[in-house]
Amino acid sequence: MKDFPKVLFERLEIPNIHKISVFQEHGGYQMAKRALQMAPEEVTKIVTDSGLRGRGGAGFPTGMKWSFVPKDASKIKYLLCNGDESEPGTFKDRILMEKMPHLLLEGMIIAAHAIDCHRAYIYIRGEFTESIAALEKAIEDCHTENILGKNIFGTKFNLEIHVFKGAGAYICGEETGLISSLEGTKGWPKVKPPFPAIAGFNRLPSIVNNVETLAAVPWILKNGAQAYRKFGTEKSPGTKLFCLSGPVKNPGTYELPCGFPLKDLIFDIGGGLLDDLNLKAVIPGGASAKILTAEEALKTTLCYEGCQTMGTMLGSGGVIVIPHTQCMVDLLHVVSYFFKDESCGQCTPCREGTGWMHKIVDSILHQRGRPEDVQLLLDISENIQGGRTICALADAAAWPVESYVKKFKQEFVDHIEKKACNLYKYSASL
Amino acid sequence: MKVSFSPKALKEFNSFEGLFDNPKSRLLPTLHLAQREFGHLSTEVIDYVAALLNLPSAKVMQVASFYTMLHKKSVGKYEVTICTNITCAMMKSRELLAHTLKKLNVKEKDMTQDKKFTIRREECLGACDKAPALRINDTYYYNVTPEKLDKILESLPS
Repeated sequence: MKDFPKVLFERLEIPNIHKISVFQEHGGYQMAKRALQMAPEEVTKIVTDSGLRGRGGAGFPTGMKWSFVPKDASKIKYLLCNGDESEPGTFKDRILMEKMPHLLLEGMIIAAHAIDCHRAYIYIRGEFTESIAALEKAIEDCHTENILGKNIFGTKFNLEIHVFKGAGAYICGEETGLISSLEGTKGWPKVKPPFPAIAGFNRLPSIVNNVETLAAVPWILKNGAQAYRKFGTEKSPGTKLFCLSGPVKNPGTYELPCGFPLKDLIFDIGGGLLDDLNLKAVIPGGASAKILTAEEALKTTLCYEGCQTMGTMLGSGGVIVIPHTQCMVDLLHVVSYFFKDESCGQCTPCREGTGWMHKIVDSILHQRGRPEDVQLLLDISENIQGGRTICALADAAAWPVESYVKKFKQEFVDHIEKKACNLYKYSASL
Repeated sequence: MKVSFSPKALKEFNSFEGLFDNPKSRLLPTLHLAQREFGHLSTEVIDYVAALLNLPSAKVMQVASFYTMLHKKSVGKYEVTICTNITCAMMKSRELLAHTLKKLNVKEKDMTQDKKFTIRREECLGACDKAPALRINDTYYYNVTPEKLDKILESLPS
C-alpha cells in the first residue's frame, strides 16, 4: 500500500503518544506555544487560508466560522469541541480522543486563542468511557505542566478546558442540540439564526468544532496553509479520516487525502469484500448520506464536491460497504428505526414522519405491505426534508428512505407483491 | 424513602459549581453522579436532585427521561448494550441480541430474575470496524459471536 500524507495520524504509531511527556518529546504543544505569540487574527487567517472544512459532517469552512465571533473583548466566548460522535458508521473521533488526546488539546488551545476564549468544553458522548478518561487525564497533566490554567507558557493567556459527559442522544451531536444539553436541558436543537458564533452557549458567542477539525489545526500552523492545500482537492483541501466498515477484509480508520477514489479505499486499502461477497452498495458518509449503487460507488471520489456530484454527501466519512446478500428493505428497517428513535420530538414533520416511515418499512418487511406504500414512503420523505424543521435530522432521516427506495425499488416491490425476498432470511422480529 | 448523597458524592457535586458560568449546566453531571450513587433515578432521587439544584422535579424528570443512559427503573448488575445499527446489524448483532434474550429468558430492557443482567439494544457504539460490538457496563467487547458472549456472561461474578 502506498504511503499517504499524514496530518492527524502523523504521530499515531509512536508508543505512548497519549502521555504528555512522549507527546512533548515529539514536538507536542510547540504550535500552541507559537500560536500564543501570534495575533489571534493571524492564527485565524492561516486556518482560513488552509481551506480546512468542518469534519463533523457539514463541511463548513473552519477559519470563516472563527471569524464570525464578535471581537468585543468584554464578552465571554466559548469553544465547544464536539466529541459526541454518534453518526452510524463513524468511529474516527474516538481514536483521536483515546490515542491522541494531547493533539486535540493542542488544537483547542490554538482555537481558543484565535477566538479569545478562556473556558472551553469537550462534549463527549457518554458511552465513550475511554475517551473521557483519556481526556480527563490529559487535561490534568496539562495543568501540572502549565499548559492549561492561568498564564499558559508564562504568557498572559488563561484557559480552562472541561470534559462534559453526554448521556446517550444522537441529536446532541447537532451543534445547537449540544448547546442545549450543556445548558442542562433536553438536547433540543435551536432555531438558527442566531448562529452559535453570535449567541450560543448561555446565549454568548460560541464556536462548535468537531474533534477531527481541531486536531488538524496544529499541523496547519506548523506547516502552513499552502502545505495543507497540497493534499486533497481545491474545494476539499487536506486529508480526512475515513472509517471503513462492513464485510471487508481490512475494516478500520484510514487517513487519506480528500478526493481519494472510493473504489481504492474499498478494494486496495480495505482488501475488498470477504470471500464470495460482491459489492451491492455503499453508504459514503454515515447513515444520513444517500446510498450509492455499486456502479455509482466505483465512480465516486471522497471529497465534498465528489460526493455531491453523485447526489450524496461526504458527511462524517463513515464508509459502510453493503454486500450483494443484503436485503435493502431490511437495511432500511434498521436505519429508519434509528432515526425514529433519535428524533428529539420537537418538530412535527420529523417526530411524526420518522415514525410513519419506519412503520411503513416495517409493514413491507413483515408481509403487510400495500402497493401504494412505495410511493407513500417517497412522499413522506419529500415532505419532511428541505428546511421544514429546526435541524437537519429530518433531512438525514429522509435521504436514506428516498435513496434506498428509488435505487432498489424492485426489492420493495417484490416484498409487497411476493410477500418475500430471497435475501431476507432473518426472521427474529426486532 | 428519602435519599441523600454520601459525603464523597456531595464533595463531587460541590465541585461542579466551579465548572460552569450558569448553574443550570450542573444538571446532567449531577444526574450521572446520582445514577452512580443510587443505581437508578427513582422518583425520590429525581426529587433530591431537584432540591439540590433548586429546580422543579418535573424539569429534572424531563431531562432524565430524554437520555437513554439515564435509567428511570433499576437495571441489573451488568447492563449489556448490543449495537444493532447498520454495520453491526449486517454482521449479525440482531441475532446476537435475540440469542442472548432467549438464553437468559428475559425481555429486552427487563432485569433477569437474579438481578444480574439487563439486556438492551443500543445505537451505533462507534466500533463498526470490529462489528458486532457491545458494551457491558463501561467495557467494550468486539467481534462478538453468540458463543463468545455466552462465555463472557458466564465469567462475570454475580
